[in-house]
Amino acid sequence: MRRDQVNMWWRFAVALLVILIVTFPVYWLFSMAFKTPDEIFSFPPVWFPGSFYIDNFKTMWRTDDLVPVWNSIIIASISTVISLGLGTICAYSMARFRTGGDNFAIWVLSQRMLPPIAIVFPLFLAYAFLGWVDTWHGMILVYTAFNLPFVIWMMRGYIQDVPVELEESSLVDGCTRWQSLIRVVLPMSRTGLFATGVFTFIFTWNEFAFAFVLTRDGVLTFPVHVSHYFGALSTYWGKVGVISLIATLPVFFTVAFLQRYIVRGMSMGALKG
Amino acid sequence: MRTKLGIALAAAVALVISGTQAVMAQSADEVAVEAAKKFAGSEITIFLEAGLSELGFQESATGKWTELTGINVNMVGAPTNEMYSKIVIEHKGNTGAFDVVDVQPQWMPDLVEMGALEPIDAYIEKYGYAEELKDIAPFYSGAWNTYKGKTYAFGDDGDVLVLYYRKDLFEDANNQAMFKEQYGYDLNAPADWGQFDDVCKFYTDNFAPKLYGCTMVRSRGLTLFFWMQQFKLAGGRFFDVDTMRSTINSDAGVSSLQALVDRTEYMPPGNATWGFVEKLSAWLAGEVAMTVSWPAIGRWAEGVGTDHEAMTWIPQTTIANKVGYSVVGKHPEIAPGFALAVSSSSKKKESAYLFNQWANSKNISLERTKVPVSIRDPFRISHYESAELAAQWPNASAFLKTLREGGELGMQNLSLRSTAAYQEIVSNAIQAAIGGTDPQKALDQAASDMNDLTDRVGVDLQRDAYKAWIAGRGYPPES
Amino acid sequence: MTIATDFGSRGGILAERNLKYVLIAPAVFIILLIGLYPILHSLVVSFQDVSALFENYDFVGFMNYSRLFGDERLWYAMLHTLVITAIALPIELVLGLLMAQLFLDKMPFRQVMVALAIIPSVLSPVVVGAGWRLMFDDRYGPINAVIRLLFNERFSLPWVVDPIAVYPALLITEVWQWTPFMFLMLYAALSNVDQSLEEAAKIDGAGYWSIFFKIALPAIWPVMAIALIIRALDLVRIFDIVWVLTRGGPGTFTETISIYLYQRGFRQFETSYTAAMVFVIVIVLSVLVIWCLRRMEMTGAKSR
Repeated sequence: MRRDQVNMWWRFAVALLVILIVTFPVYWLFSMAFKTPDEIFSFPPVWFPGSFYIDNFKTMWRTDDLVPVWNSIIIASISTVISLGLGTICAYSMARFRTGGDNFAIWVLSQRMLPPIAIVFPLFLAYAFLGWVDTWHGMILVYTAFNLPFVIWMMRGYIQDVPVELEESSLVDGCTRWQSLIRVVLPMSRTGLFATGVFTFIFTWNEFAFAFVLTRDGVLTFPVHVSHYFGALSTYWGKVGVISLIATLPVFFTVAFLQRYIVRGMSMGALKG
Repeated sequence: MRTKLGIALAAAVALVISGTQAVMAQSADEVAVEAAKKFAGSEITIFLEAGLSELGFQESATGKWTELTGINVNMVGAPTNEMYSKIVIEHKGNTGAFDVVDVQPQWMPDLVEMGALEPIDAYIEKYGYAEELKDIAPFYSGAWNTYKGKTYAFGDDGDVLVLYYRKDLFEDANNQAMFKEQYGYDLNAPADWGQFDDVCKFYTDNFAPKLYGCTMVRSRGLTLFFWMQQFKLAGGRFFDVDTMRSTINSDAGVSSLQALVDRTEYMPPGNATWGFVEKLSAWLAGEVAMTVSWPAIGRWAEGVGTDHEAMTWIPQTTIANKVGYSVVGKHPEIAPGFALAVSSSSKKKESAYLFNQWANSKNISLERTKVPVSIRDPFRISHYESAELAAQWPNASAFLKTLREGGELGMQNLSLRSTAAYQEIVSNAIQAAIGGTDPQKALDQAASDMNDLTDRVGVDLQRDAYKAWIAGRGYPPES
Repeated sequence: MTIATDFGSRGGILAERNLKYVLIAPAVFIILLIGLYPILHSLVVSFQDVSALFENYDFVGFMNYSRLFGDERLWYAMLHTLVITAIALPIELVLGLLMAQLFLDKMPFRQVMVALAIIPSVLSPVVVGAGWRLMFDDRYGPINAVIRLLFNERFSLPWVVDPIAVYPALLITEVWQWTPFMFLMLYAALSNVDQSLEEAAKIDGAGYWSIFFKIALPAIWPVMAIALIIRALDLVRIFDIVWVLTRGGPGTFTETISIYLYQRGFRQFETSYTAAMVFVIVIVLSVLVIWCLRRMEMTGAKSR
């Protein structure tokens, strides 16, 4: 016990150091939200904002600057839910039945080899023809398609880790395939589902090329909007800091809160028993 | 009797004349408003540079237009670097999403040949804009407005790269004496790039790290305008007109690129990576003696409009009332600027045109150059002569004078078929040289890339475009 | 790949012939809906000679493809991409794995710290690029300020233009932003590892690292392999960070495949040529990925 305690504090100290290093650039970015322009461009650099300069926040709330954050949350959430749902059942089918075999798996993966920048122009032409440019469903669909290969492959890996025996026994007990998927496979791979979901969201959240070409102002997303802060003759560092800070919060809290459901310990044994 | 009749007649004639004069005197913006009222209730979409341009329109034009005509104005912005791509893509998709497009004049040959812009001569005649169009300074109306004899756009932003220098430092007696002693001639605003480098070196050598001699934008995509000016002044030519083989790797090219690289050494540390804002910060902090830049920097150095809430990203100026204006090398580069055009895929062309005429008109454009957030710089003769603009800060009339004279003697930025691609090639060479590649080698590569590109575009086609560009004063007038 | 057990073929209770196709149908439909047209369009166009400026829809055979071989810039772009991928990927893997292992067991504030560790990935690449650009600034940036403070007060290095420092700058940014991906994926995989096995090993006297290498690592191998492949494919397409930090400069010194595609396809609008490039790249990548999958399967099977 004592050794474990000592161990834990050591790990804690290292973890703290790691987090410090990782978050310093984040701090530097966010601190711009509170710095005056003179402090942002000062030599030598200013480490802490001298005054708590909140003009940037004030202007943000009054203007339309937060609308794209909202758009991004909607688009990323919906497309994450859809791609997780469709991707997981597809992955399940592939993991358990080898549906389509390796060729199918590789075809799915090949969708992620295409640089968005290379296919976005023909995609735009198709979208223009269908009238889908700058629409919610257009953006949600493109991101769902873009994320499915990722979800399918990741979830296939996590599902393969779920012992088949558990599932077999549930089927013997009279579960249907669906019930066994929902009651056994999903709970067993929930950490994977969580991690995959978080990054499906993040990929969508950060995607630039599709969003740049396929939106105008109706469903403008956060990354494209942020790029507007970097003008040829202007850079709104203050606004960049504020909007980054605000836009980071949803993911931060999701990860922080949802983790409690995925901590390890509730593993095989718990379920078997 | 006869006299009475005569008087009556004369009065009648006078009335008729004054009546026509009243019609004549209706200004272009009023005409546009009247005509646009028939589109009340509809909406037009303007595509323009995101950020300050967008805000400038919002504060000085779009709201007012809606108020006057009942036409809603919707703005779609994009970063400057991505504007061209977005215009081309939307045109290829024939989406009709944009009615007004704010274009950089250097894209005109490409956009017009592609069919992306609508010719507007008929509208100009219909709505009597010809007269006010003449008020746009010739260097912002020629190649900026017309292509192959047809009008496509209204020059709308007077971007000319002139010199800003710290009068207080230049007039300081100690500095003058020291400079004279070290360089053997009087310390003045540098007349050419050789003197510019002397002065830059002088301040840096003697005062760094408190003060550096000069700062200039070094970010990709903007640096090339500065290099091109020096290159052209040094006698450099982009192509041999007969063969259309690139000649940018000539001595003039190499020496001006070498000078650009060497100059960076005398700028503040880190300047090799700086964009406009970093440079602006150093300039406003009073850490630099000279800069060559776009005109917005002139206003911001005086603190004009920088207390506006959208301008809070601009550092406090410490150099108000200390800035003088001049031109390095007599013929400054005119680049890149903006012009208002009507998209050919628009379904509301007339409405779009009327907005352009109104926004570009004498009265409204003055308002637009005046608002604090504006980065639209004076481009009309009437702007240069405007008492209001001249009163913006104590030395503003000198500023306007420099912009005007600079424009009159200025050289147009390179504009061919596939301009963006040529610029990319030149930028590659410049950035490579800044990164330490031998300028000769960098430019040899660029010349060979340019030749490949020219072959793909078509030598004859490109020769025509090149000649047209030269005719529009691409190079300094022969002395 | 390690397919746990192929029990479709065992027949009996699990042989539900059609269900497996029903399960993949919606995903396939959406991928085709969005992906099919661009691919077909690109394929056709790659045999024509179309650019935004000169539209020529005649078929020109393999002209674009044969031009690729003489295009030095493309091969250099591939090389640059390869360098970035080959360096960043193992670093991200190792750091991610170490972090996952570090946070695996209980400690104070673990949830908050894990959430904090994810933040770099959440920030938009445009912001990350510009932010690091400012961090690397010789005058206004904290990095050189720290170096000056600690080592040499005359230190001066313009990171993003100096050919010596530009790759480290890119790699630092890239690794910083995407290590959280590896971290979270492996964290999830590690927390799924059957603890009873680890405890049994502990009782047998196995050490911390020996448990890690002998039990945890083989157990997470399938997920790790996939995470590696996904990350590798994303690295091959790397665009945003490089674009904002260096724009492929100085010169074309850091130009990656995506940046070159962007220049050719989006600035110069050489649609046909770009399409041909895309196909060559996808074919090369597919071959590489298939090869990797085969190899990983072997090593994966061995370690089981």
